[in-house]
Amino acid sequence: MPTYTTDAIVLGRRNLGEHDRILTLLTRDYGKLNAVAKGARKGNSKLSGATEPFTQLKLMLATGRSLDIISQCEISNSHPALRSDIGRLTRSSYLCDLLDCLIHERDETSIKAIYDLSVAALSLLEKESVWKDSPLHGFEFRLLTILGYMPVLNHCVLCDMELSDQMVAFSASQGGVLCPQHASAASDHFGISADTLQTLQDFARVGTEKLCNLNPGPQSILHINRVLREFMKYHSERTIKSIEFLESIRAMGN
Amino acid sequence: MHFAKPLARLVSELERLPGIGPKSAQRMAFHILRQPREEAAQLANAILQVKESIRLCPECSNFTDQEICEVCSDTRRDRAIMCVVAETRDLIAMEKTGEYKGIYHVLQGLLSPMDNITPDMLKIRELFPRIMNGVNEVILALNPTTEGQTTTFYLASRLKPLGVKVSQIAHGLPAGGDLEYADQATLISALEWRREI
Repeated sequence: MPTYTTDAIVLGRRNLGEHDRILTLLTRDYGKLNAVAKGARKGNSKLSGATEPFTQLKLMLATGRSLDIISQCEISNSHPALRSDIGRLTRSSYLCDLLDCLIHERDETSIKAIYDLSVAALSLLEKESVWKDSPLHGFEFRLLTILGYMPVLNHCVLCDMELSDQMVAFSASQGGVLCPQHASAASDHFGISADTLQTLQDFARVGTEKLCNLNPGPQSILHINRVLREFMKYHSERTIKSIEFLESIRAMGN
Repeated sequence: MHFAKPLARLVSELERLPGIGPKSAQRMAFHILRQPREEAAQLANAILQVKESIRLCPECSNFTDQEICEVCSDTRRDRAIMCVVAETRDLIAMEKTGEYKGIYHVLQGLLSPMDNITPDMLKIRELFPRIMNGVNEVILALNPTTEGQTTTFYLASRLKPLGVKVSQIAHGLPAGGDLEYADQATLISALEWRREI
């Protein structure tokens, strides 16, 4: 049975039979794929700790008939700090769910950039941020850029009018912001304040190290969360299940 | 399919069971076919009886065939300590230790962000009136998985304001485990939960 090695992040897992698990992996070299972790549900299995979501692994996989099989595995980073509170757990779960929804199986297009971005985002989520969602939203914007879905934020999608310091509308179906004259052209539009537009433009502009210092007002936070929620839902082929859970955790102040 | 229709139906019903693939379903179906009629009837009756007689205990949400489950109706149990578990299977595992003499609460699942399993889908609302009824300590005995930890943090944040002591079972290396292959999270837990000998 031919084998290959790669770095991977565990995006999710489901049970198979009595003792095994199927892992959904984002690999750095081969894109998203499913692989079997044999015996991972046995109490003293060497694989059990490696099958938890957001764990970073170095893997040797054997090519199987339908699913590849994990033959060797070393944990490079289990991101213990992500498992230290419900806010980090939920945001990391959403990040993995988002990758699972937006990345096609075995699609290697820009996969190294996506993998490195995901590793950096998980590490950033482990750190303290002024606004808990800033590392997550920074990740979302960069992922959208790599996938070619980045929303237009500097000018009206329909008339190219430059937009800043004014109340505008956002439409996921139109792919960005709309000037007040063209807002009614999209049925899914909703208003966002000038402050929100400024923060959205900042997210697309600032480096990773400055993300953790972004601190928008409460109204802008609600708008930014909504912009990204609607945009991600529009571009995902299936329901991003963790969005609602994330919203309920945000509502609890976590 | 080349099976006779009743046999094909049995195979297709068995395939719907968790962990049962087409080959296993066929093997089980042929086994049932070869059994004496009485044994097959016993199996069918057992399945129906489970569906008809098993319900959730109104106190702890454990599966029971009584009005109140055996644990809740046992007067020797310490009602000041409550152990919260995810499934009845976990309750049975705790009972097998013979070490725990308090009462239980079965959540019938775990919170899961990725599957959008929210608190209102579990037996969490039923937990709070029981806590107010003389419970001093709640032991959260949930799996050390992403879902288990999410549920643990959620319950701790809801229970601590009630003034009750909330503890979590220790996490670390399993009996017969291998230190070399343990992940960071497991080893960090093992160090955190170490005790003097």
